[in-house]
Amino acid sequence: MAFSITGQSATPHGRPEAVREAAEQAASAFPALLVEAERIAQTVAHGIHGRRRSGVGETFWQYKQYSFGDSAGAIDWRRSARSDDVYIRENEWEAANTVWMWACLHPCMEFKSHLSDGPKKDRAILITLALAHLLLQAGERVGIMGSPNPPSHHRAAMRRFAHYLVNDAPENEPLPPSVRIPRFSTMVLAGDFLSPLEEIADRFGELAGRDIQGHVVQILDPAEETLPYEGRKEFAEISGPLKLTIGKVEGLRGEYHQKVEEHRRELSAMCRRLGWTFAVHHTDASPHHALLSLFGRLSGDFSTGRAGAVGV
Amino acid sequence: MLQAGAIAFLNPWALAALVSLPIIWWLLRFTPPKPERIDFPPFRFLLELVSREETPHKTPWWLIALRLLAAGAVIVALAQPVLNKTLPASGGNGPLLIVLDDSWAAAKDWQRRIETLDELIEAAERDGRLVSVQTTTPRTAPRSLEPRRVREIKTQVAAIASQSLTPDRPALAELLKRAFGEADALEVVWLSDGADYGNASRFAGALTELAGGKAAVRVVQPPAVELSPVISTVEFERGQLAVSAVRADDRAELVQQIAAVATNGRELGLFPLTFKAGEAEAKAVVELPAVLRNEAARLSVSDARSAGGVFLLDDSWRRKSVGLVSGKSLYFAQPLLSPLYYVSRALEPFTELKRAPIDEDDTGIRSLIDGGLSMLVLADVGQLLDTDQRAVEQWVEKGGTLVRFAGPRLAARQDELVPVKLRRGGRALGGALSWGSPQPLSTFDEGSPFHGLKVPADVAIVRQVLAEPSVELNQRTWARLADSTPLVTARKVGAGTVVLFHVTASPQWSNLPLSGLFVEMLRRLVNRSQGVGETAESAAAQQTNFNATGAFAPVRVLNGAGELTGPPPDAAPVPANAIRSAKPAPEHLPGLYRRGGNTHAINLAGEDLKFAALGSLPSGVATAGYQKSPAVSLKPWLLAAAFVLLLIDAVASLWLAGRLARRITTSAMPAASVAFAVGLGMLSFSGDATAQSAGDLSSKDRIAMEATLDTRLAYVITGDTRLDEVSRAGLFGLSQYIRRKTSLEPERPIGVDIEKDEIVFFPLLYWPIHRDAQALSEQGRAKITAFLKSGGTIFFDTRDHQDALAGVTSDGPSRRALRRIMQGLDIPPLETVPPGHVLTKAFYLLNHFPGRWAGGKLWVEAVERLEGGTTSNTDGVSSVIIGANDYASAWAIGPEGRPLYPTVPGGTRQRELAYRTGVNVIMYSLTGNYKADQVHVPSILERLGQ
Repeated sequence: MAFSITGQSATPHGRPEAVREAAEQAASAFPALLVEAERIAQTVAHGIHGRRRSGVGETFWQYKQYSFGDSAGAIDWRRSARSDDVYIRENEWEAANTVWMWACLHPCMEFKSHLSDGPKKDRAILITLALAHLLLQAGERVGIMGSPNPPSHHRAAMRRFAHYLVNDAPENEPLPPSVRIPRFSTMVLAGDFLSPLEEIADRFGELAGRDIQGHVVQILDPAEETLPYEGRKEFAEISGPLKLTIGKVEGLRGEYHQKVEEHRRELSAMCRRLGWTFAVHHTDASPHHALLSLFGRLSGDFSTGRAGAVGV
Repeated sequence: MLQAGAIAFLNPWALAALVSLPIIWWLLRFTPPKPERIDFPPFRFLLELVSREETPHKTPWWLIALRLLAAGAVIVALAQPVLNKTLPASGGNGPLLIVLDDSWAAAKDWQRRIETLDELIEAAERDGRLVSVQTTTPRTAPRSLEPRRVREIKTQVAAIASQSLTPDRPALAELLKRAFGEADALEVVWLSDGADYGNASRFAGALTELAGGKAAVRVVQPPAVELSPVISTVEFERGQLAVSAVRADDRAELVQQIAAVATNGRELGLFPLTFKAGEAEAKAVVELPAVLRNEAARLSVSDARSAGGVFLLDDSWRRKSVGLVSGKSLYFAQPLLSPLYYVSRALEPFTELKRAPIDEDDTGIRSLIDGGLSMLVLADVGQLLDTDQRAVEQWVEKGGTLVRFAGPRLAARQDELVPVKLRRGGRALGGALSWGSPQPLSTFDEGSPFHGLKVPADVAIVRQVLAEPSVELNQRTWARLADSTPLVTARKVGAGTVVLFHVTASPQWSNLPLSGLFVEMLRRLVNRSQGVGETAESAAAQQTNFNATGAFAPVRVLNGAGELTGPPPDAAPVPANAIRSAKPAPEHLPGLYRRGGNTHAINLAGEDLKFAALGSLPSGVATAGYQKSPAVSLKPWLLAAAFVLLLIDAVASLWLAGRLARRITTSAMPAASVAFAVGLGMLSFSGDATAQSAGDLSSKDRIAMEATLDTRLAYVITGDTRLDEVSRAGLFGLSQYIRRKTSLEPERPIGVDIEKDEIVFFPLLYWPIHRDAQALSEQGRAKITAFLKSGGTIFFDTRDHQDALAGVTSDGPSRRALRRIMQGLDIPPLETVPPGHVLTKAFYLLNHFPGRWAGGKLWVEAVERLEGGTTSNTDGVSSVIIGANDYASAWAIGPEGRPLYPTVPGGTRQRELAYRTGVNVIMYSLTGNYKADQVHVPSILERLGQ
């Protein structure tokens, strides 16, 4: 799969259209993404994953003798003319895989340090939408977790997604909502996942119990990784009253880094246990890295993505 | 007041606040600058790592020092430190007597004296002392010698102005001795003018003897070099004015100039006055052609700025006036045949001619003589009336010059006022019945006043009257014919002379009146004659006889600075018989006094003027100099320093909080660079803002291009930003109005610096007068004169009509400022705009000219009503328009087109009229007087119709 990354990723901002355009521009470097579905959900939706049985689809499957109840419009008159019986042309039942997306919009995600280009939230939305765009191009059904809109495979759905993510999505949840997702779906979760590990484990367990394939992208600001501050600083909780004044921040840097590493190790292990993939993305890197990695995982072509499976 | 070296604190109690500095230090030490706040998502991790409480951070010592310094600077500033107070009060508690020389010699540095006086009084007020301020010039009003509280004498002190009088120190010493001779304690400060009038030492001695000899006396005197020279005498010397001047300091060589100035302020000429090293006296000769000399109204030492350096020239120095009386009343009917035609043509250029009024009852001779005459010409008047003859005789005896011309009437009979006895009839030469041919003139004898004149060969005498031969005839003859018969005879009568031309003043008897010799002869006679004012005594003597006008009333008097002002209320007229001997006195200030058409000047200069530098003073008298500059207040500087320190502190605090670096990298960078650039700009602005050039053109060329490529209105930059902004907005508003209403489309107005910029491009300059406007420099004055001469118009706006409304004197500070500016400019006589003036109809028809105020008058150059008046190249446009209505404020509009200032009494109509006034003024200056021609429109139309 040959592609080139062209253009620098623009940081999306407040407007849904702008966000969508930025996402589409980021996605323009990739071909359409067809999910490698091992087990396709039993849905009635059209799709391109053939079900090896007759049903709604576009490719020919078999001729079947007309029987009462069949639609007269379904009769293949050319085939019927060759014999005495009346035949009906049946196509293979083709169903689409549904990919559920979630981007964390918690105030934590607004953080932007002097090292990065934009807040984490923007990057999460960008990656989510870019991926959605690629999937829709391939005819996959895409849905946003928590959104009232049903999953769709129309290109036009992009607009709705962008609008929902920028304007309507709830903004105070640090973890994906525990919504009912049909079995055998695919799920892409983008967020910083800095909540306590127990909470994450509980929520992931609920989601994974429904036999859902998950892909987790942890989006972090480089400053959250390295603590690049010096001297006397006052740190404050994002959505809480706590404050902490530290006299020599540089002294804490090593310990802090260990702490972050440990958290991520645990998170990664948790995902592995659930059979999910886990990747890290930093906001100072190009969003193409994360996209490429997810592309590989979703398409099953790990030649493009496996290398960056952990720690992009 | 607290004195610490050269620095004094006017409000020393504020220094007590310095005690609070340690408290401030203690507080600052424990209030560290706020750390940078970071909203950190992985806050939980940090919380797990750090559990201990953070101790408060200490403020860096240098920040504390910075803040303490700023606080200290503010406190010291509030204590009002003052640098360089050289004349502090001695600090005694007794009464303070201040003796101030308010003479003309003090006028030059009057401001400095007043400052010193104010300082002394202020110090006395702070110390609660009683003060008595006495001036040394003589005064008519009684003095109040008693020391009083400063509050009570402040108005008296404020009214002190320099006088054009010489101090009368002995008289004051006498008064002081009576008032303070027995006082307990007294401090005396004598603010002297630095000049010794022969009594300074004695006066200082008298001061020390006050308070029973215990008075502490200090004398403040300027260095002798700063006293400007004084004109001591002016006299005629070989037909020119010789000016003698004295100076106080005779060490170095000094070159000054004597300026001869005409009545209207025009400078007629500058004449060097050179004091040689070691000499206190110098002489300058004012060499001017007779015509110009007659115009000179005053002589002044150019650098003087004091009444002592000014000499006013009155009639006796000036124009000779010649009365013309003819036996025939033909002059007005057939002027060319009048016997006086040739005389008047010959005398006109250098004398003032007066003709006797034509009246049946009166020959008018007496009124002529009474008005003041140098010379009386009687052409073919045979017999004077008895009363006339007596008057003329008396006048001649007092020094008048009577010139008579022969003629048929004189030949028939004469009165006594002829130099020689004449034969009846006379003789005719070259006629059909005569035996001689017309006679030429012989050369003039050495004793004759005509000696040296060249006799043209073609002058021939046809008829003449003949003198009876007598012993005196020869010596009374001033000119004779080739055959030795007298042509001009003269006789001294008292102080005067009677001259007889034995021919007519018309070319009937000879062609002498047609020759240039005639002009020369008359001129010599005029030059011999006395000045008009010199007849004052005789006029006074005749006063009773002729019931003429009364005493000489003061018209204009000199103030201490040598400027002519209106006479003070207590100025008294001088009786005519005392005018010659009148000396400057409080009620007779030096100046011009007039009676009828006769002007007499009282001058300071005279033999009894003793002028020298203040000599040695008695011992026990402390001396000091006037300080060069007023005390410098350090308060603004300290406050500025505190402000800068606080700015540094703000930046440092930001930097400590870590907010600075981030800002600079993002948004503050351009802002900072802009601020830096602005700062640099300000620095260079303080140097010379207008000298910056753009592109290839020099700034001068650019201004010239701007001014000439489009028609623009221009205003004079006064230096007061607010006022200049009003002028700009006003002219902008007017330009907009003119664009809308007329075919003239002026561009944006332009401000000009009258001293630096070229102004010749603008047809009209709007010049608002700032009340503190200073006099112009020499070049500025020359530039403006050239501008006005070349047809430019200046619209002065004194903007002070509201002062007049408020009942304040009409001679407000703005008027004085205007006078300062106009000083030395050649400004013609002015009048308020008369009805029918072109200004009332240049574009709109206007009856009055309101601006922001309504009712102030508009002044323009007085129109020459006589025919042949030379208004030069200005096409009848007044070179100066002066208004008081604050026109620019009425015209001023803001960027959104709304008027900026309300009009008073108000209304859109007044504003509209103000704009119309502006349009008329512009049109008037641009199109000249062509509207005045419209009076001929009917006749022009009639002619066109045919």
